[in-house]
Amino acid sequence: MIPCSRIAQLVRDTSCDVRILRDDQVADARNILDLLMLKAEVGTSLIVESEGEGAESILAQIVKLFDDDFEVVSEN
Amino acid sequence: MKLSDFIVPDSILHDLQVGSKEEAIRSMVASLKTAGSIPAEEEESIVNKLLEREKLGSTGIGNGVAVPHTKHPSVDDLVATVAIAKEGVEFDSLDGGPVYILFLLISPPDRSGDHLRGLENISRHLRNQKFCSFLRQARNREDIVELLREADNNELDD
Repeated sequence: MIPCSRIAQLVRDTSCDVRILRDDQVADARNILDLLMLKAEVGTSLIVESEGEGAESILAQIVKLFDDDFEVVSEN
Repeated sequence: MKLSDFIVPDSILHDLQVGSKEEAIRSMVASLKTAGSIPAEEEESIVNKLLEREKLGSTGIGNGVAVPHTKHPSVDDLVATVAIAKEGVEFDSLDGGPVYILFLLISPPDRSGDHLRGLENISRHLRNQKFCSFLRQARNREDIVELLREADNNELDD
């Protein structure tokens, strides 16, 4: 859940629309419940889409969260 | 996976009256212990794990909902309980608001898939406004058990 919270927190601070896709499932990145429903385990391929002012910047920040393992080594 | 597969009916608290996040977590774990779903001697260890997890980031995910969860070796299967706090509990939630509906989940450390499926299942139902609204109006444990059954059978779908 920590990755979902981190992403949602990041996106809520912007006016961008950000969607995360897993196969045919689409999650609104502002909504933690949406993100949790992706059931994305480590190694899952996801697509991140962003639209609006600062879309590229928010995309880069989300990619950095993944690269940094969401600043958490292991949840429990 | 259904809610009834892992939520322990006898542990459900329909009127949780606590003053803090820690008290809420302690009460819910104690209820699972009383229901015989966790070993009594592991109660404190489980509470500590849940509180440690909260320090990494609140599981109060907004809209009056919290899903405290942890992995713990003392359980062989996913176990969970539900509590309704009619007065609300401060939970350091993402949206800053109090929490009224709590789902607490404990899963074995080697069952990440089940843990995620449990969270996904709970999330799916919590997106349903009718489910959340009825939960908050529950008068007793039986009302909640019945609501969980209806949710499992998709009888509350909008």
